[in-house]
Amino acid sequence: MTITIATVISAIKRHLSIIGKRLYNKDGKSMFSDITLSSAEDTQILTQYITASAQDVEAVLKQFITASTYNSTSISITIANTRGDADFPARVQDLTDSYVRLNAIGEYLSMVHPDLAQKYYADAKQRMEALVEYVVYKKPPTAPNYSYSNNTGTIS
Amino acid sequence: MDNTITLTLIKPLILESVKNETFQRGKFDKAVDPKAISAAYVEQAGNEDYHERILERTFYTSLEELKTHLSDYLSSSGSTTGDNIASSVNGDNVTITLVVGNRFNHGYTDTLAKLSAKYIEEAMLMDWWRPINEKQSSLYANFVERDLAAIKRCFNKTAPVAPTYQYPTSLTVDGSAIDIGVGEEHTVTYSISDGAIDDIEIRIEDTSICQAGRTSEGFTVIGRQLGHTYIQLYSRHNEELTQLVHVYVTDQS
Repeated sequence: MTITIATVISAIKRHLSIIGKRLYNKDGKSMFSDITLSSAEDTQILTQYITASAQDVEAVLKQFITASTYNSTSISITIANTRGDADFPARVQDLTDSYVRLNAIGEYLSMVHPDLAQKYYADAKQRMEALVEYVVYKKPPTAPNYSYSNNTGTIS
Repeated sequence: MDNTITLTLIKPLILESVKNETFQRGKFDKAVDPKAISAAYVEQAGNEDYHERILERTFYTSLEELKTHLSDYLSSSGSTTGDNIASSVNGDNVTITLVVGNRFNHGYTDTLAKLSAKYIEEAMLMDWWRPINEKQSSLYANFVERDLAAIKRCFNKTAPVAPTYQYPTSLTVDGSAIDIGVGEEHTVTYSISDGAIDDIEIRIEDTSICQAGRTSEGFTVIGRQLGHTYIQLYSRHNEELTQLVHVYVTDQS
């Protein structure tokens, strides 16, 4: 599972932009400029939040993680799939992306709009719980190509 | 005569049963408490490497335990060459070979195989739950005892069989008449049914004409005086099994 930092930053910025356009302060002024990040600050601060969020995932799922790599452009985490569904990699990727995005937004909003941040933290928590549930799910054991009657006894 | 029992147990079936039972238990625990997802994961045996190693170890130790229990019922014939209990694993097949007395009820041979597989499964489950849930482990300990009791019942002896004596059912004499002189010997040879114990005796109709004696090859007939008589070979245990041989003692000078 790989988190491409630029892709997540782009998604977060779009999200903040949508929020900013629709929120107004008590004086009736748009909060767009308060909530959105400037191009000078977005990469640095969001990379920090994204990395911290990925580390949350790694910490919570530590017992299932076989490898992880962090660099400036991407974060790669390998989660063992012992008896998961066939779509395990795709679902784990989606849930992790979602968690990282929501948590990073929550972290950022906690500085500029703490009340709004709570909603994102709650959503992120829910995604993390879903991710854990997905990772710890085991399918029923695979049936061997035998039937119980193959346990036999002979006497001579 | 002893019997050799060969039990063939399928290892993947045993492992699957253990995984199925623990899977079911984990599923139930999740149903009771939806927050117990991580606990259920730990309860459900396989397929992590360390789970598989635990299962592999407990499979073999349970198999060996079973062998020690089966050893109570081995034949006491005391063969000093070769083993009277052995086991081997060849691919998916586990073979247990044991030598038992001749009063083992053959009808329980297959039962013994299935109960042995069940014993190993439940002993493995007992070991599986031991570090996770002691109460559950105790439950399986009871099941193991129940399996052992059932295995023991398989060895209830059948009623003793009355000994049988293998009497001859056929008797063939080589030749139907002999011609000898006075003082001359002739050996009458014969054969009986395969595997029968030789209980053949001889009667002489007129002992003044000839006499007879036992040898390792058959009966020796010696002419005593000129004349004709006959000898009868018969089974001591089967009056209907007789053969007549004419004896002519002639002057052959």
